[in-house]
Amino acid sequence: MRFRLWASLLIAGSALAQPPLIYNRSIYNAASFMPLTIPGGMIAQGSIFSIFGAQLGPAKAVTASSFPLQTTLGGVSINVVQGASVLSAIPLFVSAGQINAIMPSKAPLGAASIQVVVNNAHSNMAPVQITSSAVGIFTANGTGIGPGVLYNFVAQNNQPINSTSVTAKPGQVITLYATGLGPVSGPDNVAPPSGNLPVQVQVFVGGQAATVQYSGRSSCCSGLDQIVFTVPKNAPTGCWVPVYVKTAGTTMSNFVTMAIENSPGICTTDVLPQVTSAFLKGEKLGEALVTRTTTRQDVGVLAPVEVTSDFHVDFAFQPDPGQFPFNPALAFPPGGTCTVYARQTEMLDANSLPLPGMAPTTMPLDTGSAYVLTGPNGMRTLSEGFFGARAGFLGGSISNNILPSSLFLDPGSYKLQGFGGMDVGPFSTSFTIPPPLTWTNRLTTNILSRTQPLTISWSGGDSGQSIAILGFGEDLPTNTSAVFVCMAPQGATSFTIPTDMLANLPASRTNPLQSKDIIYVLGLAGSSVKSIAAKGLDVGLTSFYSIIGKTVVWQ
Amino acid sequence: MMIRLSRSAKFMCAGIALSLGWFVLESCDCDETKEQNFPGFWVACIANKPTLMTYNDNNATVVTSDAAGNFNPAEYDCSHSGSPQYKGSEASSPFKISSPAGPGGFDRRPHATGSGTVAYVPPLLRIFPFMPHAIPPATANCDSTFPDIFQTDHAEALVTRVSTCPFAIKIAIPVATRPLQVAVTPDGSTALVTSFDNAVNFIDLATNKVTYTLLTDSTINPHGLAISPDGTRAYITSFNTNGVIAVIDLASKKIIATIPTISYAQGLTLTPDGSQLWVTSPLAASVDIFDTLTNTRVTGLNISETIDVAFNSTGTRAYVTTSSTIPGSVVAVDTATYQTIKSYTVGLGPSDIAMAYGDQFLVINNNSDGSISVLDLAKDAVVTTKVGTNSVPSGIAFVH
Repeated sequence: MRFRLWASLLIAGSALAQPPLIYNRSIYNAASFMPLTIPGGMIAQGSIFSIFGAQLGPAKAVTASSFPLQTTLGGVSINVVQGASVLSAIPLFVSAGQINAIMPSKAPLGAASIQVVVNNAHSNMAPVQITSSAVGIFTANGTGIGPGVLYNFVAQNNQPINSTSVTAKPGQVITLYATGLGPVSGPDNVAPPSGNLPVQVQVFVGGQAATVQYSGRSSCCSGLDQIVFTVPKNAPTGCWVPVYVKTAGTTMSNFVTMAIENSPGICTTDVLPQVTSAFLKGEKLGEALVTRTTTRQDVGVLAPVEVTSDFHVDFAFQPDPGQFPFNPALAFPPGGTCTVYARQTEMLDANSLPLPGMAPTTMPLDTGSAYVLTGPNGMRTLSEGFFGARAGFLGGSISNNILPSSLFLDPGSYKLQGFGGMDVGPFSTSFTIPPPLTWTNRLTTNILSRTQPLTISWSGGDSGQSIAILGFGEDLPTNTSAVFVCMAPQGATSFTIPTDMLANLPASRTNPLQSKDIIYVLGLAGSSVKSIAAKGLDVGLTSFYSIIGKTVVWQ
Repeated sequence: MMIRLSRSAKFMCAGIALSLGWFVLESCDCDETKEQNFPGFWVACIANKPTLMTYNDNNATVVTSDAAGNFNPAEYDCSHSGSPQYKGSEASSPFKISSPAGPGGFDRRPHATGSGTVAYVPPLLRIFPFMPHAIPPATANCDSTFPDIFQTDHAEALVTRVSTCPFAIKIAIPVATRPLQVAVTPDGSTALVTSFDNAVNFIDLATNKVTYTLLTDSTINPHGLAISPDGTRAYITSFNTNGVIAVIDLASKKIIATIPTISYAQGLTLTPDGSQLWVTSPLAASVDIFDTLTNTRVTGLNISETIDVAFNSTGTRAYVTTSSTIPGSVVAVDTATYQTIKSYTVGLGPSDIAMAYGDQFLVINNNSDGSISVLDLAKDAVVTTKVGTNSVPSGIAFVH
């Protein structure tokens, strides 16, 4: 867990030979870890922030343990510099690689610099953006995405942490822990008084506004905020219902999740519930997936071009769900809701770091050396990959005579055969690729305001399909990415994405080659989902996903 | 296709991603051969002629020349771009090369749009997920959208403006003596030119005339040059023993700060977001890195005899040319931690380096053996091509 709450005070380490070094782009809200370059990622006055680097403190970590907190801890102090103004942040946790500290409530707003001083050795200056409020919600896995640190109120002495096995129900009172509500009027280094802070606070659960009973400091801890709210009666149920906080009517927090069910027990999802169940139980799960993606590129190119490609991805593994199971690729928001991920990375680049929790922690199961896929366009051997996981290109086309068609996954009947490996036995499964999904207002989805709701409409596709809408905004020069993920209600033919989902998307650059901004509409999990019955798998299935993409400009 | 074990986690990631449907985009990287073609063109001084180049069949290849293989008009000699420090020291260590323009010896003017805003050369295709293999070149041929480029003529005190399609000299603009590097403001309105003889020239690109000459004091010999992405600041290095960076406010055209740095500071490269300056020197033992918000030093890298730095589009990787090895090297640096990741062997005396659109290919001029190296980051491989007898490739300006 990246953020560590204070414990006992330890002795500071000895002087360090190398000067402290703050890594580049390595200062974050200690809960959200969102980039500084988006509004929600700025550091709020009075909030807890994290600094990453080298030689930042003693080899043996030191944690502040009692009030009043000091401006030096373990030989480490932190300067907040803006012009001639220098203030001291309050260290809570110091170690060689990470510091957690409180940004002074009186810190100047705007661009400033952070400097760490370790036993009189000064680090480099690292830029930071200070704002009056920008909330980060703490997460159980300490990464800023996934299950939030939310406690279900049962009784005063019974407030278990929310999880997929300890669900909340609509109408239940919840306590959420966060940092970034804003400054306090008193000193930051003493136990904060209880009471609502003046900033306007709204909490949304599955897109529904919750009633907020309290929004202020936690009386235990400087910089730590507590928001008490009631789960709306009309909140959707599910394992990973999005929760976020909006402050001052403008600034969105990170999106976390909570599990909500009408009855106590393990949660379920409305999309691919068999996959969710296997994931939560740690069962052996296999999927054989084929996709057709058609993307219209009409921003930043000489002439509009349609790029179509067919891919397959097959895998089998036994997940280790842990206490707070979450994988951003499996954690569907409920139908009719959206979530947002914002990170310091290039999400659309396969060589960049995936979102936390995406990479499985267990080895894949061996399903054999190859699968064979047979359909209207012949037979393909799917052998690319390694040890139970394989993925590959099946065909493509690019308009404007750029690439002649070699597409494979046309609508029709298909048979997938596996011949067995060390962990998974042979199988043969038939499935159907349906007629294509059509994004009906794609051509007019072009230059988009981030302050206006965005409506996406579609038709056709698979019977029983679920529609997901993903909108990416990537600012390459700052390596900042954000994506909204919305699931349309079952049976809908259009969906309007609220402006709150767009607020943390970076604006497009004038030079479009410096941005990667695109929307994908996905039809998934319809009639093409068929069971794979193979020895060694608890749950196996085939599926076809129809994906329609379009480049856009975020204004 | 054989897949290394290290890729399996990514495959799993892709597969799991597919189960949701989002992040299926990861799957496009599953073929690690990544058969992409080179996405664009660049201009370099080859055999003393400005030359439009591209990369075909694993070779750096001349695209535009006359029948004799020379630039037309044939009278033009771009070897004049070299700095006297290099020429004068050719015979003595540590100078190993004869006439590099140095980073920024060429620069391009952003293609102007009708609205006057900054623009770019649009490719046929952009790099997004779900791309089929065998992606064609981003721009197939010389196109009217290609921008002009600018080159300093050190000996003749000129800046030459060259159109890249058709490939022709437009005009030679007189500037202060011994010009070295040129850079264009993001709005395409102004070119700045460093002159070793204590001057920075401001050229109005609408009229092709010097409209202002900023004179520095005698302790500053302007060489390296970079302009902030927002167009408010320019940074120059002083190529002498007392290395400094001078910060120029472009609105007032005044030096507003000087920052001490390594001796004989030459190259000056801003990170893509403009938050840091990386300073190189062929005579120093390190690369200096500065924070542009405070104009303070961040850290130094123990890489010696450096000329130029290129960043990937996200600024997460830096690639530094160094002549400290024989043959020369390109050192890849993680810009988060400032740690060296890997060193690639290139040609002798690597100088200029530039990243092509898409972050897959780096082009490097090797001054000392007359070659150009192309580093393919997807294949983790370098191909070095000789570009003519007695040729000293110098200056790189990508025109994508």
